[in-house]
Amino acid sequence: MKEGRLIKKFDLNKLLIYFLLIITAILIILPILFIFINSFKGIVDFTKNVFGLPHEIQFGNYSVAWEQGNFFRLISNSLIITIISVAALIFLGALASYPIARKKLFGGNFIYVLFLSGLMIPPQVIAIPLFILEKKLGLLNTLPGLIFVYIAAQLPITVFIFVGFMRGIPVEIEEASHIDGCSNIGTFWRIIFPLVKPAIATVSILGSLNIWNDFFYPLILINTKENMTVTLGLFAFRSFFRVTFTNLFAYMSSMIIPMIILYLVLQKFIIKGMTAGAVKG
Amino acid sequence: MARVVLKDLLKKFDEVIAVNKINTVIEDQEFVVLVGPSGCGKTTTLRMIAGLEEITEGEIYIGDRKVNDVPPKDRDIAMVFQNYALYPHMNVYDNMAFGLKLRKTPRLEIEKRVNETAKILAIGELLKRKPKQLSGGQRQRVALGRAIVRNPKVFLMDEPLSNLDAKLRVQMRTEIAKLHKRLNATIVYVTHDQTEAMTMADRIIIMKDGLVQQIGKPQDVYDHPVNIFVAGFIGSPAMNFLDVTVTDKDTLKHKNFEIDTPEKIKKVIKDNNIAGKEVVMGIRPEDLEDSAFVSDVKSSNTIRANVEVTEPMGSEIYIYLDVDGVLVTARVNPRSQAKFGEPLSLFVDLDKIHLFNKETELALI
Repeated sequence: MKEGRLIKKFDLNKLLIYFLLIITAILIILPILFIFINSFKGIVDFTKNVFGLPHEIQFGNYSVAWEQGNFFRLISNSLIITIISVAALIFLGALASYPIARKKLFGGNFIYVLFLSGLMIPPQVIAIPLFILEKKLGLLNTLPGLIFVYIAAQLPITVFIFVGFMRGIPVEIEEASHIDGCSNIGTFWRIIFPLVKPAIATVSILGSLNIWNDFFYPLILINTKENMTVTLGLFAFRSFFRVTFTNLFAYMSSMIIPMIILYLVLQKFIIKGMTAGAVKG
Repeated sequence: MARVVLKDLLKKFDEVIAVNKINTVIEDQEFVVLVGPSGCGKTTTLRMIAGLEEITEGEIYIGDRKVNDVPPKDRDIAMVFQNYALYPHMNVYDNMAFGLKLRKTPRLEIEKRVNETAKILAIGELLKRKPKQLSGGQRQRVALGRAIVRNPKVFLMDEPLSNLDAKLRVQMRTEIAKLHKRLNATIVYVTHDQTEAMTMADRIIIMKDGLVQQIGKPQDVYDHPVNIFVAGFIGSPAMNFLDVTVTDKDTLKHKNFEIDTPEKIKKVIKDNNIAGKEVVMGIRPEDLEDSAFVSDVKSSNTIRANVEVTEPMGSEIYIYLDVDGVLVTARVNPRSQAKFGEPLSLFVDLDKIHLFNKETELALI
């Protein structure tokens, strides 16, 4: 009897969890689906039939979005910024995290806390000094100017993930490599770096999402059409032309594709990276 | 191969002394086991030899070279860790070849050495597998292989069998002993398991609280422990200890019994002038026998006590008896009729008695 009751309770919990997960999934997926479906409608079809499927599939919205929105130029800007920033984040973040996580470093904890404190600074607070600094350095309106800012802004969370993950690697593996003949740098590149693949995947996806979706920094640091990112481009596309929602939806659908592809490629590492960092860190 | 010399080796962690002035020479091709309870400093000593732990004071020589400031990679040693420490992202072959690749050994030579070692350890079939696809025993072999393939001067092993199940542990124990003979290697082996120490070592170093208690051949240490700690630590089941008084007639008197002493103990009593004093009598479980199986039984060579527990092992029975509040273990004939709660007369092999000073705990014989 008692055992039966326990099983029943367990099932009920599971049911509740699934129910909540499904609701959350619907809340997230529905707007994306809405944007995607409506990007194939004509404007008349859209105004008459907002929530239904298109009566006739039209690709015209995409050609308008891509041509008038200067989409390919902007998406290549976003890709360049994201790829270079994330690569630098992985390289610098892993290098910075290794001594913090694994070496008896004087002031190591202080440096770690200093990194983490970066998580608590809202971008709006540093907007004006950042603008002045970039202007003085001649980086305003340039892609490198944005890349530097993104590296600095994302480094705290990157270090947090890497340190948590590296602390979970048994110290004996590192010692074995020293005995086998590796120097500190050799141990880092040959042993530690390959072992933090899940953390690299997590940093890649988190960093890419944050950088790709960011609107604030391009808004204050970029004001030429050629150097805009895709998110700022969306804003400009809305402002420069009369708002045609279906065109806007086509633009949005196109700009989320790289992130969906990235997530699909790296998703198997994500959970591993998150939990390893969280539990063992 | 080479000998290892430890000279006044001292290790402090802040104010705590983990290893206290060890002095010993581990000879070329010798198999030395460092044994002792947790926290005795045995692993710290091994790690200092490996170069993984800084030395506070003293000197370490490998061969003729002082290695105090030499990094681990340049000491020409190989280490087998308790948790194997295999590289999870490399397959077995790459794990074994890693050290050779770093030393720029030619590819063909690496291939030859890895394959030969794999053959010795019967892991030839596993070379393409990753560590997570191996069982505990197989991982242990790979870890050994990684050490062997480098052909180092000294092998260091840190409790390499403690993660294996009992059966596999016995099997690997003999394999490591065989490997030692085959490779003619100098091996320093750390364990807390006295059975491993007894069965594998050429010499044992017994440690407690950072201090070396005794160094010697396994049988010598077993037969002639220098103090109560060593006597109790080496041997399973452990030696029994009873507080007794030495009488003027050179007998050993306890509340429950009074036993005679052989000539060699009489001499010890006389030399140390301990007549009338309290000492600790030590007797190993196998030196006690159910009186029913001995012909020469007298009151002067027996202890009578109540049976608390009996553990039949098949080839023998372990009997635990209550001797005035002290639990005494006896390994007796498997046909013994001893029963729980009943008194039993135990024959004491008087020639095997050990005596210890009660204050200093040092052996008198």
